[in-house]
Amino acid sequence: MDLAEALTRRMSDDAGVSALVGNRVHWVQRDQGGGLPALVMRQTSRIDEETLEEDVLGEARIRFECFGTSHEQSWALAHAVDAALAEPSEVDGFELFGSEERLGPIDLGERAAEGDYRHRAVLELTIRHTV
Amino acid sequence: MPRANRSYLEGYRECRESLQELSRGVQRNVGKRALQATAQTAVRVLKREAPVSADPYNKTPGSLRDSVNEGKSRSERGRPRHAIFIDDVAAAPVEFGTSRMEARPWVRAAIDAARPVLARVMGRALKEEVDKAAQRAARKAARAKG
Repeated sequence: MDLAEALTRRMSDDAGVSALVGNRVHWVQRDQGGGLPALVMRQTSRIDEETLEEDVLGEARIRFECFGTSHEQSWALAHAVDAALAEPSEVDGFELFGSEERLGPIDLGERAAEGDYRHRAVLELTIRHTV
Repeated sequence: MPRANRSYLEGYRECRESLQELSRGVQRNVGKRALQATAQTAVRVLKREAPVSADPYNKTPGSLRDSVNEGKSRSERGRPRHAIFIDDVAAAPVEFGTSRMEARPWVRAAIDAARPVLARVMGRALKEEVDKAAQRAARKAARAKG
C-alpha cells in the first residue's frame, strides 16, 4: 500500500468526510461530471528520513482540494478533512501520524468558463507516514 | 491539533543566552537580520525552482521566476517578520490550478526541500549577528568606563 491508497481509504472511511463526499475521493484528478461535493488530493512534496531504528519515515505535504456546491459546503469538507487527519491512524498496517504543519483552508473559488461558480477550499497538511 | 513542523538547530540555547544579555532593541535587530539572510536564500531557491513557460506564444517567459522577491522586514507583536512575494499574475493559478488549468505546485515543494539549507543559513546568520552585537556592546561598555 502506498500513501495515495492509504489516504484515499482513510478519507473514504472517515465518517465526517464520507458523510459529505461519499466515495467521491480522488487522487490528483476528479471525474468530470462526477458530482459535488468532492475531495481531490495530491502530493506536493515528500522527504523520506531514516530513523534511529533504521526505519524510513516519509514526511509528505498533501494538498486537499475540497469542491462543493456552496462556500459553506467546501469549507465544511476542508474542516472535516483536517479533523480526520489530526490524530494518528492506521490503514492495513500503513501508519499515518497526526498531521503537522497546516496551510489554509484557502478560498479558491472561481467562475468557470461555463458561467457557473466553482466553490473550492484548499487545505495543505504535512503528514508523517510509514514507507 | 497539528504541531509545528520542526527543524533542528544546534547551539541555539547558547545563542539565546548570549542574546538575552543584550537589549531588547538589539535582540530584535539580530533576529531581523538573521531572518533577512534566510529570506534571501529562500528567494534564490524559489527563483531556481520556478517553472518557466515553454509556450511560444508567451511573451514574457520567466516572469514568474523574476517576480520572486523579498519584502521589507517588519515586526508583528514584537517578533520580526520577513515576507517573500511572488506577485506575477500567474503565481496563484500555477500553484493552485484553475478550472481550466491543472495545478503545478512548486513553491511548497521548493521550500520543503530547502528546509535543511535554510535552517543552516538561519543558524549561521544568528551566530554571526549575535557575535557582532555582543562585540559592539562590549566596545560601548569599554568606552563608557574609559
